[in-house]
Amino acid sequence: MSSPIVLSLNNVSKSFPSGERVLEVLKSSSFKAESGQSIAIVGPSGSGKTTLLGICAGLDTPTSGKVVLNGSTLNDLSEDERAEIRNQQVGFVFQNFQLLPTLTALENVMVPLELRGETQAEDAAIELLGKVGLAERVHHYPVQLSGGEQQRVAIARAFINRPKVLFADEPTGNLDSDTSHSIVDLLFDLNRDAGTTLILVTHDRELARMTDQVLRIENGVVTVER
Amino acid sequence: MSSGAQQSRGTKPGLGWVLKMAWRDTRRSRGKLALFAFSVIFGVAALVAVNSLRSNLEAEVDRQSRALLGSDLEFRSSDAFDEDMEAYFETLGAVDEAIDTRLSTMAYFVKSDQTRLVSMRAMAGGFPWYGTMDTRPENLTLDPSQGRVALVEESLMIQYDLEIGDAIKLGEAEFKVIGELMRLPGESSLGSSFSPRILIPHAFLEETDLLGFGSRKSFVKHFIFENGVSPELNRELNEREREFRANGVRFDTVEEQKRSIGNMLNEMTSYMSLVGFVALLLGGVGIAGAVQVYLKEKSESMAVLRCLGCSGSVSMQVFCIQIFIVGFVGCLLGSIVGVGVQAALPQVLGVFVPFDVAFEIVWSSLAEAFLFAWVLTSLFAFLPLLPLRALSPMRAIRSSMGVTPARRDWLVWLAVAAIGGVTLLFSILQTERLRDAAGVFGGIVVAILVLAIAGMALRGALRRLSPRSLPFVWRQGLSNLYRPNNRTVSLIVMIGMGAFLIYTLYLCEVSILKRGEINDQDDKPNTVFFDVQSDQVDVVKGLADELETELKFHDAMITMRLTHVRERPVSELRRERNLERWALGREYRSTYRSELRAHEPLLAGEFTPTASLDSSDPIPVSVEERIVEALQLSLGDRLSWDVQGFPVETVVTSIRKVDWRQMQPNFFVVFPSGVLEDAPANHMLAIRADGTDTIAALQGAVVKQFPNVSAINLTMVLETLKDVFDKVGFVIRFMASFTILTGLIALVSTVLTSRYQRMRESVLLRSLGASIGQTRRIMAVEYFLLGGLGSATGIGLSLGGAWAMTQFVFEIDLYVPWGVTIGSILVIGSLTLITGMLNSLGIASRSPIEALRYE
Repeated sequence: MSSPIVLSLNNVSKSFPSGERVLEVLKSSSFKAESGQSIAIVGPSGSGKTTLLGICAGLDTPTSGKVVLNGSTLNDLSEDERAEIRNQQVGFVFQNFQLLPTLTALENVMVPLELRGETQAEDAAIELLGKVGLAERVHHYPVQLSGGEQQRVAIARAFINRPKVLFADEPTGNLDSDTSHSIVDLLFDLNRDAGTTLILVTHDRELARMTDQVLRIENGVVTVER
Repeated sequence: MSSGAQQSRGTKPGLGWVLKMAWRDTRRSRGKLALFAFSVIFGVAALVAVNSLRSNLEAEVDRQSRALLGSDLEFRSSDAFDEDMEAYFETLGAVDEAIDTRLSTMAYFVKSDQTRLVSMRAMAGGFPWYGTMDTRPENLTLDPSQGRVALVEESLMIQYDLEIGDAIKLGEAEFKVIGELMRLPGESSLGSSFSPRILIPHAFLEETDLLGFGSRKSFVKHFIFENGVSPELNRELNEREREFRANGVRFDTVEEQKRSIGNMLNEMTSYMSLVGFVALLLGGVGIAGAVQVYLKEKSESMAVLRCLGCSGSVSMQVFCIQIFIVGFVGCLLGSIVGVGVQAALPQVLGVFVPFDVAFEIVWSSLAEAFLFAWVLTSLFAFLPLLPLRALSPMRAIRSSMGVTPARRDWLVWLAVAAIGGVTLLFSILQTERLRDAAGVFGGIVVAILVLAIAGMALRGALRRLSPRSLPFVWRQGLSNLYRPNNRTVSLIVMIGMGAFLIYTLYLCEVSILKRGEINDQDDKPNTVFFDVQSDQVDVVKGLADELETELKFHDAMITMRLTHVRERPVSELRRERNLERWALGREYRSTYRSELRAHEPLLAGEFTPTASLDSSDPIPVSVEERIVEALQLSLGDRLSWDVQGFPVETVVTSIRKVDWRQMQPNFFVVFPSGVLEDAPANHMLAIRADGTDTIAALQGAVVKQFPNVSAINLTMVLETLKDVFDKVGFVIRFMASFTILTGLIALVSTVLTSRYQRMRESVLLRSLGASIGQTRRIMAVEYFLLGGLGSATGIGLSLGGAWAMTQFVFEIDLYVPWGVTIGSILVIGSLTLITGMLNSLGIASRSPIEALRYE
């Protein structure tokens, strides 16, 4: 029996005005992601990977086509409604970590729960920071942490709200090789434990090979590579 | 909406989280927020101080309303009240009355053998009934049973080293000093600076023998009633005002006095409020800059929050709360400083106000100024904040994703309109005249437009004309001004607005002060004798010769009144609104001469040197331009005069400009020789004497021989005037310092806004091999051009602004100190350059990799 579909894109296109022309970054693309599946999006620079990730995660809206995330059609929602979806069902890991510089590691991890209005976020955040190996660094600010540690905090923050889908944009792009390996292991372990769907954008062929499916995007066209 | 979204509803974070997040988020940016708060402080302080002071003054005027006059009703006249007036006084039903006869005369201080022009006041009766006559020792009176006693102005006691018991000679009588006069109800110390007061019992006025022809006197009667001036009496007084004026009698009631003091205070505080408002507007420019710097760092955090599920409105709330709270703190600190300044202002203004001003915090005024400032500063802060509503969460993964440009955001335009509306409202409230308010507001709008056009012109010109042959540093620096993301227009507008506002204020200040500047040149007279009778002239000239002084001018003065203008009686013309009443009703002191003097150039017509009463033609006269304006005269107009009972027909044949700042005898009307020689006249002799000892000796010699003759020591008058203008200047500079301080903060925050554009470029250039020196020089070229053009345009605009202010608000000539003007352009340009370079120190000295990582 196949797993339920948590994300589907149907004929999604995205274009931007560029001077007097219209630049079509994404052309009539479709794919589906099942619960617990891991998918890598690969392609050359400027091919539209980040645009596709943004549309999948509800950060941006397509020019045409339909995006359904865990039963919600994102096209129909306002930005604030999409924000609620992101808070409830989506996690993010960014290439440049994107921790809030004014918040400690602990506070950064607590934010998604606090945004839901939960008052007992601290215990869950401390537990999660312990899982990513940062139990001793909870009160440190991002600037006091190494790149690998910052990405661990970002991973803990991405998992704190038990997302249905985790989006990762070049999660190892800013890390050295050793640190990259440990971060990848952590990401996949937590993903497996939580049963989360993982969609990551990467240039790293080795990392792409670890996923269940690889989508290649070239000149705005998405094809299933594997 | 689909089911997933429905499930997630109702999970918005509460206000508690928003507040907590707002606090957490300030952790690494408190310095920038402090800059925001600092931008507000001085403007708010000035507004709070002036607003509260105004309330203090108003409350004091209300509280002391009766003490402002000392009585319920006062009549004044330059001639003794006639029988009709005396009879009228009898019908008033007053419970008591008092007499106050005032004379400008010379006092001779026996101990020091010195003389001085004073205002002698011969008083009888219980005046003042309200308020007190402050004396040292306390509670002194002028009871005639004490004999010939005098109360002497405090400043005079100090100046002439007088002590209780010393003798003063006034006219033919000698008086004994019994104490110092500190204050009389309703009179400010400024009024007595030129002619200090000496009070004597009225019973001994005759003995001075000073009431003869030619002496300058005024007669005052004070009345007190059972229950103040009744409405019926008030109505009657107003009905008869014209009749009183026709007879040279004026009256004052408590209400009149209150109104006139209120108007004076209002004018004074309006100017100060305007200065405060300029500081606040400049602060607004600083705030917009400071908030923009702050939000530049925050936009990425905002995008991350949006990625994590924070709605646009909640993330806006986080930053709105920060801005509201920092604005609140700034306004609060400003209010505290303002209250401190308010406590100091009465000392600064004391000399201009006829009563002591009690320091009192007026909460309503404080709250009003606070709220107004808070609204205005919040609006300025919202300008850079509002566009962030449209910030895409995609920015978290793609830094090139920006926000909708502010110019396309309708809410930004709404905030701009609100700032405009608040500015206009404030201008109307302060100036209380729509024309002036529209002028102030229009001036600010025009200045912004001109500065924006100048910025765009610079950008366009550089884009088209920037020569490729220039060295790399210049080419790079110049092209930074027109490349994408340049801030050329906004920086020129901000720097230029600061320069415009501050320099307009400065030009108004120097023009006001210039008005009071009087030349004391070597060849000009420094002592003037007046009230010299015809038979005394030769003796005075002889005394002047003996002391080897030089007679500069001798003018006969004949008093006269206008009876007809253009053959229409003055009584009829008083009803015409386009004519100024003072010029119709005044007593003219005219002279005759066969030539005009250097300081009274002809504007129109020709001066006729001689004429004769034997001819049937009207006498050709020369009229000063102010009278021409007041009576709407032109060449050929007829003027009829009553010269001490003798009718004289004249025609205007020339119009003169008189420089009233020249301390020389000046006249509204000059007759030709051959007409007035036989009329009863007083004479004025202007003499140049070298050294204060010679002046004192000559004054002493003349006054001892002719007690009726008065003398003005112009050097002393100049010193007094200088002292008064120094005090006015101090008040103006005191208030302007708030604007200048805010202007400096605004400059820092304006320059800071460009830091982020330059940081990345500098680092990239350095990573490509540029030296620290080259990156600094590139920035120097950029800031030099921005500062130079911004300040030159702003100061150029201020010439227009100050011209409009001096012409239409202060009604004085504009004075432009060109050296200071050019210096100011250089100073503001240099300050921009220095601020920019100091601000860029961190950028240039940072290692490229460190800065790139930070970015």
